[in-house]
Formats: sequence, structure tokens, C-alpha cells
Amino acid sequence: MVNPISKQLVGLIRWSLLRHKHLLVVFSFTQIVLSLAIVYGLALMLPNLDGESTIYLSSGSITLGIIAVGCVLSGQIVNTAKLEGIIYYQKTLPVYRLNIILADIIIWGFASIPGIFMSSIAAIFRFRLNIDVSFQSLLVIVLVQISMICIGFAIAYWFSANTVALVTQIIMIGGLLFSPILYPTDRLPNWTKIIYENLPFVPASKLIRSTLFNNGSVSIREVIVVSIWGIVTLLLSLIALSRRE
Amino acid sequence: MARINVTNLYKTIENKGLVNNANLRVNNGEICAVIGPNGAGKTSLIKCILGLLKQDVGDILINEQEMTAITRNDLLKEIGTVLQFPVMIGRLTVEQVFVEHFHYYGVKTTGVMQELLRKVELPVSMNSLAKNLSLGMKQRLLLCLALAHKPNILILDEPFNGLDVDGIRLMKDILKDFAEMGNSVLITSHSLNELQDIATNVVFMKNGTTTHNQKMEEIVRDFEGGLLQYYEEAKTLTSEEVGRR
Repeated sequence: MVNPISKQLVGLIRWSLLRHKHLLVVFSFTQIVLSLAIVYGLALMLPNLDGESTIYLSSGSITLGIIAVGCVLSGQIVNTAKLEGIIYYQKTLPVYRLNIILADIIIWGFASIPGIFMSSIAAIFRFRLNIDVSFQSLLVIVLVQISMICIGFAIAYWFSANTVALVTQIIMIGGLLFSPILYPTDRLPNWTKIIYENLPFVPASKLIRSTLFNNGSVSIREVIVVSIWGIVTLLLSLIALSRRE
Repeated sequence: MARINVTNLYKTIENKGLVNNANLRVNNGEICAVIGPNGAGKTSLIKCILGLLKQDVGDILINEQEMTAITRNDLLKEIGTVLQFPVMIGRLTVEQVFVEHFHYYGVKTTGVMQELLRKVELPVSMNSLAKNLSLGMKQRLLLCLALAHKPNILILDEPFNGLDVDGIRLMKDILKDFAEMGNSVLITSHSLNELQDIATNVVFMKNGTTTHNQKMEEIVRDFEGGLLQYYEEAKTLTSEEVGRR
């Protein structure tokens, strides 16, 4: 008899942990370095840091950490699993496809916590900022995590191996340099607004800034944009896992 | 009772006909061997039966039920498979492989693991890393997993690969015992001598087309060189001739 759904999910989480236990240590270290590099390293490049810049760097560090784990690392790991036949193997098991995705969302959600934690600590020590840990800010963090991880999964499930590497790198470089995550939007040409406002990355950073750093108010539009990206890419991942060619 | 009944099956991917009018019937207590040259469509046929590929045309009945009328998880509960060795297993210890695999089928692990290892004569420590096992040992381990949830159908793709003489003998004995209990086996292999010893029926496949089921006793009676001669002669037929045979 097949286990109930929740027991099955626990099993998949345990299996995923067994497979990724070594990688999780490396990823935690990478995120800590990335957080420190943004908060301390990038700050060195900006001689006159005002209050707004410090908030952008700190919230950007958290957002980029979540993007790095969700869209880039988890996407690449799922891509490897696809190449190694692990996804094919999972398809031959009597497990619900949604559970396979949920188990990985939970694992990668936890995997991005060290980066969030270290970025917050760095922001407190480096810039003396107050972090508002509230139900709302935690909810936003979870929403952003789920959305970014689902984007990473959808990229991995739907693109070829080489394209996955390219797309995830573009997301990371674009996130670091060409999207107003680490700096205010008025530094970019106006025509780019339509792009970054409808992609999930800048709305995610705005949500984190407005809740965790109390900078501005929470915009429903941003919640909707991030949620829609999360839902659509979750459905795309589910279709990819469930479809029979 | 027909455990597996495939009629007029067609499957095309990217304009390439993988399966072109395949027919197959495996009754209770039968071991059906699907033989044919590389690229004949044997693995595609197995994938269709396992629900991993969706046929364009044709019917597949499992235990006399239309495949579309059974949920995927119920279907997979009925079947044990020995397919390619999954990498995911390779990173776990033998015990972890058992525990994780059994979890999805609701099999109790207490006592079962040792019993199965004894049955396939695999004297390994539970703490051994599965990736360190020889190919033959991995095949035996996969057979353990395939039998663990007590399916009534076994589907095996090249199960003799990597097995030594004792391993082959054991595999044949286990499959014969399994069929004698009223279960059914569908097996693909290039080891014709081994198949001649155990198969009750043979289906030859070429360019995705199958012959009708041939009784092994008739093949042995009609072909002096047994299955090998039957195979060599069938290889020279055109696809149309294979379909009529």
C-alpha cells in the first residue's frame, strides 16, 4: 500500500537531504561569502554611503542570496539530476509529482536561510540597521523563496542542460548588475522599468526592503507579480514532471 | 488472465516511429521475452507499458484494466522493475537504498532487507555504499527492490548485464519461481541462451514492429538452433513481414 501523502513527503525530504547533505554545507558557505561580499565588499566601492544605499545593499544581499539558491543553484542541481537519470527514476516510483517538487522546495528553502541570516547580521553590524522580524516579513521571505525556487525548477525542467547553465548565469549577472536590487531604480533608463517591474526579482527586493527594513510600504502589485511567477513556474514544473512524452 | 495486453501500439517522437504496431500479451505464469536488435523499440515499448511514454494509438491493459483507468501510482504498485541503475541509489548505503525505496511502497523494513539480500545471494554489509558494488551486485540489489513490494508483474530491461554465472543462474531461478506463483514477467535481453532457458513466450521486434507471441516450445521444436536461429532468421525479415509473422 502506498503511504499517505504526508509520509511520502517526509520520505522524499529525507531522500533529498541524503543526496544533498554535502552540497548544503558548500552552499551555506557560498551564501555567507556572497552576503559578506555584498554588504562589506560592495560598500567599499561606494565612498559616501547614505541611509538609503545601506538599506539597498543589505536588502539586496538577502534578495540576491535567495535568487542564488533558488534560481541558480537549485536549478543547476535539478538539471544535474535530470542528466543523471534521477528524475526518470523518480518517475518510476509511486509518488505524487507535487510531493517531489514540494520536498525540493522545502530543502532549498532551508538551504537559503544561512544567506538570509548572515546578510541580516552583516547589515546590523556594518550599517547599524534595524531588522524588523515580523510575521509579515517572514511571510514575504517565504513567498520570495518559494517563487525563486520554482523559477529555478521550471528552468531546469524545461530547458536543455547547456541552456540551463546560461539562463541561470544571466539571472545572477543581471541581478547583480543590471537590475535595481542593489541600487535605486532612478539610476536605470526609464524604458527598462517595464522589464524589471514585471520580472519577479526587483518586486521581490522591494518587498523585502519594505517589510524587513521598513523602507516604504508593501505594494500589492509586487506581491501579485512575485506570486504569479511562483504559481506559473510551479505549474510548469509540475507539468514537466507529470507529462508523458 | 492477461497481466499485460498491448494491442496495435504506435508511438512517434520527433517524426521518428519508435513503436509501429506493437502487439504483446503476457498471461499469468508466463515469462515473455522481447528480443530484437538495438534500436528496435524494446525500451520504448517498456516505457509505454510503465506509463512513462504516452502512446499515439493503441491500447495497453494491465491486469485487464485500461491503463488510462488506473492511476499512475496504482499501476506502479502492480509492477516491479529492473531498469538502468539509478545514480541516486549510488550515493546511498545499501540500508538507505532499502529504507528510502521501501518507504514509497509502504513495505516494512524489519527483517525484510536481510531476507531479500539472502534471496538474491548478495552478502554485503548494510553500511556499504551502493556505488561501490560491482555491476552484478547492483543488478541483484535492483532485483531486491523490484521484488520488495510483492508485485504481480516484473518488467526487466537487460537484467543479465554484469551478472556472473552464479548471478545469471540465480536470476533465472528467481524469475522462474516468480512466474510459477502465477505472476508474469516481461523481459528484454540480448542473452538469448538465458532467455531460451526461462521464457515461455517470445516476441521479436524490429523497427518498432512486433511479431505475434511465439511459444518457446514451438521455437525450440521448429528451429534446430533454438532461439538463436529464430533470431537470426527473424532479423532478415522486413518490418511488414515481422508484423505478419
